[in-house]
Amino acid sequence: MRALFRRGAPRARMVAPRQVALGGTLSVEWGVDSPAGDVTGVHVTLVGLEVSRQRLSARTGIHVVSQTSTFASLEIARATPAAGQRVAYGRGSVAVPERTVTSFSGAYNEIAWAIVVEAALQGAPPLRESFPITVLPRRAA
Amino acid sequence: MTKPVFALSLELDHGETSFEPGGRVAGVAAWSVSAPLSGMELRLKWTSRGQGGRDIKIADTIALPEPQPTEKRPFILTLPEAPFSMQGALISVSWELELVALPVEEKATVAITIAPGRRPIVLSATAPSHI
Repeated sequence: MRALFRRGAPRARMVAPRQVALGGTLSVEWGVDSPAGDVTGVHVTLVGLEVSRQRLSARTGIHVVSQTSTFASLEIARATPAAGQRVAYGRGSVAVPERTVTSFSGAYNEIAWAIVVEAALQGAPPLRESFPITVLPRRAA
Repeated sequence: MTKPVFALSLELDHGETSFEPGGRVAGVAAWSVSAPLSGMELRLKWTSRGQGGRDIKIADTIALPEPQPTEKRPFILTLPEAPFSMQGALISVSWELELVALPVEEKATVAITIAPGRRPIVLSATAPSHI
């Protein structure tokens, strides 16, 4: 946790459309800023999640417990930055499958899609940042 | 006092219950009701189910105006593009077409599938890939 809040902590950046259609192509520009130059690897994926929320009553109030299950993990980019490089960046794209599910969100149940950037850091826990994206049906896009 | 009788039925053309997203559903709504009716409605709704509960959403409502006590009325409706009928590791989505007698909300229901290829999407848990 401390690594997230320290000065000059690494951050992921993403330029991507807010939505993409089933059967379409998602193209992104990604970047990881690391003032310490300690990034040893970057992996960018399009991830689809089932989310089930349970509301549990307790004396202290209502607690919401979420369960998630990953049903899609599609690689967009993988990179190995040069040692000491402060900024790693690149472009990537992925074909969104035609036969999968679109985004929706309810009080209890949700299908969520996100572009996930993971960066391996030398001598520190990996960085993981998630950028939500809406997956639409083919004809609605 | 005699209890009112509600006989409601929904028949889809050719008995077809699986459809492409955005497809059209045709059928006949029939009813025979002994109580006063304030209206009849066709409702297209979907339900997502998970361990924590159900989310129910009405995607479309078609009013069948001035219903007679006994009647058969053909209908055609266009289905939405999403969400698809699906079964996942944690949640599922199912669709229903309902004929509803108002104001008592007596119902006849037909379960339908809306998905590409007319087959529900099956999601299986996959291990996320990592760096």
